[in-house]
Amino acid sequence: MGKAIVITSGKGGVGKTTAVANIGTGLAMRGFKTVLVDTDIGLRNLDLLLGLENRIVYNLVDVVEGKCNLKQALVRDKRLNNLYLLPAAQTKEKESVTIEQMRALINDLKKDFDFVLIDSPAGIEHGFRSAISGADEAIVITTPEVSSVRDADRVIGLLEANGFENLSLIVNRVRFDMVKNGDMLGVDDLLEILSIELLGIVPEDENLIISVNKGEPIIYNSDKCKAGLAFSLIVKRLLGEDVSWDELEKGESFLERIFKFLRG
Amino acid sequence: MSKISFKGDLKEGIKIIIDPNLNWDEIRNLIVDEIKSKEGFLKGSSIYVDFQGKDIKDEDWQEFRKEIYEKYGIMLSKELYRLRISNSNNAKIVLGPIRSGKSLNVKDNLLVIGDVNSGSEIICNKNVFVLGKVRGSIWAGYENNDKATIFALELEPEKIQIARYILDLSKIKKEKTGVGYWVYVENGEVKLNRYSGGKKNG
Repeated sequence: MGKAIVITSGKGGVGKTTAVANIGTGLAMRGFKTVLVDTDIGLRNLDLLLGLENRIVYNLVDVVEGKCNLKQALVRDKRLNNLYLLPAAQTKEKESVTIEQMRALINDLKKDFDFVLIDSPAGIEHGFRSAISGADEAIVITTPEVSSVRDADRVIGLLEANGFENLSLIVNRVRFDMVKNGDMLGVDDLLEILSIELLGIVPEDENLIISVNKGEPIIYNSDKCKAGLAFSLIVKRLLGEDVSWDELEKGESFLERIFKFLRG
Repeated sequence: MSKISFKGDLKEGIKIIIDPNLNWDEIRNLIVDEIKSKEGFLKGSSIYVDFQGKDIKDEDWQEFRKEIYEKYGIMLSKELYRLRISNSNNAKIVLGPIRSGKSLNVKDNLLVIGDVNSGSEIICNKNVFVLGKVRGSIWAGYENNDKATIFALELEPEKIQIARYILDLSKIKKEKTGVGYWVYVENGEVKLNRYSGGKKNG
């Protein structure tokens, strides 16, 4: 029996889908059989981030409606043969899948996979409730902005009310220079407000835009860019490895040193 | 009815109720007489003096307090909050943080151990105590109970209301002395005080 993890945020555009694509790829790279479930029905995105948009035949709603079986709807990744995507339907609505159907679906997937990563839609309505219904654990993602933090707080409250005990936090789009100058909330400030365990910090990185447009998760470039490194550290931590928090800063300062050297 | 009256019970402690028509010298003498006559019993206690709205000059009061304390070892106080807390001993205890979107509705006193986060609200008919930071909103005494108070260790709220009075948030200033903030209603206005263990404000 595998483990189902939902990645959620409340607010839109903070990086849920990016996190799912990268963490999922990272887990598969380490040999775990992983499936990514896009529950954002009507606003399908995850396929683009993996570059799988032209391989989709069936989707999650087709499975639920019995138009195909689960295996037929799974799309295998281009690069890794133990990574699969269960795409959302683009032409349906969130309400076309009930909470019970989603729970049963996730349970079926858990039988075949080591990890089931669930990409939750933004918001706290039906789509959110069905996305969390089958999950064993939850990762909350936020950016260091007050609006995003308040939404994360709300979502954590809802998750706790739904019996989730293993909650962890990813802080996305951190700009260490701005934090240093006091122009941005620091990770410590966020942890003080949200008081849950920290899973990882992802620095702001323009390479992410390139990676999304290319449909190639940035974790493949973890030796070259900060965000890729950050996601690979998150995967390590998720697997229970003890990773020092300095590693990200170390990597960063090394790059910065080269940068400074080149600029003279 | 006598000019001043002495009362005491387990809930409210000892208090002296003053006839507001007396002048300051009369009050002083009467209090001293009362204390002298019961000195053995009262030694080491603290007494709440209820002036029933009468205005006393702060210098006079402080000087008098000091004198009584040095002579008889009795602490006088005219702050109300100690009394108010002890009026009812029942409290609902909630472990925080109270997260965004949560609405707590409580009839009795409320004790929150943890923060009250931005986007959450507490509606309570009695006193609210927060052992943490308030970033959300609190309404104490919602059934027009202006005797309700709010205590918080740190205060950066969205809204603070007692009965029908709303606190002017610009009154909140970061201070280094004392612990926490008391919010209460006095003469139809919400007041904010730094709590200093009841010693300095007397």
